[in-house]
Amino acid sequence: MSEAATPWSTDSARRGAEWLTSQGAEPDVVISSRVRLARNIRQLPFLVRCSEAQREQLLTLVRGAVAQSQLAVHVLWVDVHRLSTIERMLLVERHLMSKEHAKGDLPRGLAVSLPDERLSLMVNEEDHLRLQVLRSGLALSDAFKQLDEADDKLEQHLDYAYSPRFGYLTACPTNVGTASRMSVMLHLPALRLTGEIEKVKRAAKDMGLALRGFYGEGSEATGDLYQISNQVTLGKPESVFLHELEHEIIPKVVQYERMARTALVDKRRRYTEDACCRALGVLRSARLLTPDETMGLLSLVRLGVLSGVIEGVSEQTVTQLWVQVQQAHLQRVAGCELDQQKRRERRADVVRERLK
Amino acid sequence: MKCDRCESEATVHEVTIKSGRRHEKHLCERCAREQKIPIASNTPLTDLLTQYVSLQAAAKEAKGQAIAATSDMCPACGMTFASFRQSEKLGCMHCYSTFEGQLSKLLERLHDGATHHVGKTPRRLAACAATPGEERAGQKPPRVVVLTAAQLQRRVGNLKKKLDEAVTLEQYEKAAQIRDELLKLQKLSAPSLPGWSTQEGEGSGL
Repeated sequence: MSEAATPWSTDSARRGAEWLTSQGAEPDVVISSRVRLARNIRQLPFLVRCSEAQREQLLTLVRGAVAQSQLAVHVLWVDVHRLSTIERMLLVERHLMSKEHAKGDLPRGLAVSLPDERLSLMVNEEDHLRLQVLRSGLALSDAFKQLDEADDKLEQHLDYAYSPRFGYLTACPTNVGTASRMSVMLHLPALRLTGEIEKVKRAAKDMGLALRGFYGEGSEATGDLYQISNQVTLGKPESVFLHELEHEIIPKVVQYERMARTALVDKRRRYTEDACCRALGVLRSARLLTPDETMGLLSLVRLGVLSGVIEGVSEQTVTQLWVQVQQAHLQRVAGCELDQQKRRERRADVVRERLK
Repeated sequence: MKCDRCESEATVHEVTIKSGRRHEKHLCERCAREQKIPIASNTPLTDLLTQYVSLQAAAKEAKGQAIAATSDMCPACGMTFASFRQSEKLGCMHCYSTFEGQLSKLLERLHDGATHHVGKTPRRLAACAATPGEERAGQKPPRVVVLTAAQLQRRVGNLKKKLDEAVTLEQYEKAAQIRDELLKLQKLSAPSLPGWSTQEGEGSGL
C-alpha cells in the first residue's frame, strides 16, 4: 500500500491530475494522450453472462495478478462497489475510470499506480479488464509502451481470451482485434471561434476516427476539449494505428489550431483580446459559476495566456482548474456534500482564489 | 397357390393356432400389407446392414439439421444472436465461433472491411507457435502407431471375425463401426513396405 495520497484524498483533489501538467509534446494544443486495452479471461463468460460470484472470482483473480505483476512501484487496489458516490465521481473526474464503471453495486475493481496515476486498470467494466495509461501532452508511443509492458506482465498470470482470426476477444465486437483504443485530448478554442471545428469533425469522421468530449463516449465537448480516437481495431497492428494518429493525423490538427490562433491574434486582435480578457474578468469576479460556463471561460483564458493576450496567469493553473472545478473535487476539498447552489458558490470561490 | 383375397399368387402364408384350431391365411404381398401381417424379408444380411448404415446416416443428417436450426444459440453461454443484436454485447468468447458467419459481415462493416486480426498475440501463444510440435494448451497431440504388414493382416483378420459375430448377433450398430474401421485399414494397407505408420485420433478403437 502506497503512502502517497490516494486519488480521492483532499490533497489529491487540491493538486489536480498529473496528466494536466502540460508536459510532453505539443502541450499548447494536446492536453493528454490515453491508450487503453480491453482483455477478457478465457475461463469465464463475458460480463453480461457473469454471475455475481463470477464477478467476485474475477476481482480476486485480477487482484492476485496485479499483486504479482509489479506494474508500478506503488499500486493501489480499490473495490469500487464499496466506495461512496463522491469517491467514485472523483475517480471519473480524474479520468481514472469511466462513468459506466462508477455505476451500480455489482463487484468491480480499480487498480491505480501512485503517485503519478498514469496506469489504471478497471476490472468488470464492459470487459473483464480495461487497462489504460494516461500521459500529459502528445505521448502516445510512450503511453503504449508502458501499457504493452503492463499487459505482458499481467498475461503471465492471466489466461486471455484470444483467437488467431479475431485477436483479443471482447464483449463488444467494436473492440475486437487489437482491442486497443488510442485517444488524444485536444484543446481547440481557435478552431471553434473561427468556425473551422466543423471541418475537423467531418475530416475525423471521414478518416474513421471518433471525436468525443472531455469525458469520452457520449459527452459533449465542454471547454473546447475534444478527444480524437481510433474506431477501427481489426485488420491493422497497434503500431500502425499509433503511427497514423501520432505522426500523421494529430500533428495536422495541431498545426491547424495554431494557424487559427495566429490568425485570430493577427487579424482580429481586439476581438480576441476582448473575448479572453472578458472571460478572465468574469472568472475573477463571479460569485456563482455553473460547470459548463466555467469550462468555457477557462478555455478562453487559456487561449489568451497561450496567445500572449493575457499576462500574469499561469497556463498550468488554468488547465488544472478544469478538473478542480468538477463537482466531486469541490466536495472533497470542502469535506462535505454540497447541493447544486453550494457547488456553484464553491466553484466561484475556488476559481477566484486560483486566478487572483 | 392363389391369394385368399385376390387372383394374385400367394407369397405370404400365416398359420395361427387358436383354441386348439389351426387357421391358415395365404395372401399376396399387397393383401398381406393391407391386413397388417408382418412380412419376413429374405433380404440378405449384408443388405440389411447397408440399409441400417444408410438409416443411421439419414438420422445423423436429420440431427444436423436440428442443430442448424438451433445454432442461433451459443452452446457455451446460451446467448442468441437476436439478444446480441439488442444488447450489442456477446456472452462469452465462444460466441465468436458460434456466430462467426453473422459476425464476419458485421465486423467488415465496423472495421473498414477488415475480417482478420493483425497485431499483438499473447506471448504464451506466440511462444507455442515458435516451437513447432510443442503441445498446445488443451490439445492432445495425435497418437502415432507403427504397424508391420503382418500385424496389419492380423488386425484385419480379427476385425472381420468381429464383424461376422456382430452380424450374427444382429448388433448392427457395432457391425457398422467395425466395417468403418475395416475400410480405414484396407485403404491404408497394400503397402509393400515392411512397416508403415498412421495417425489415429482419440477413440479410434484400434
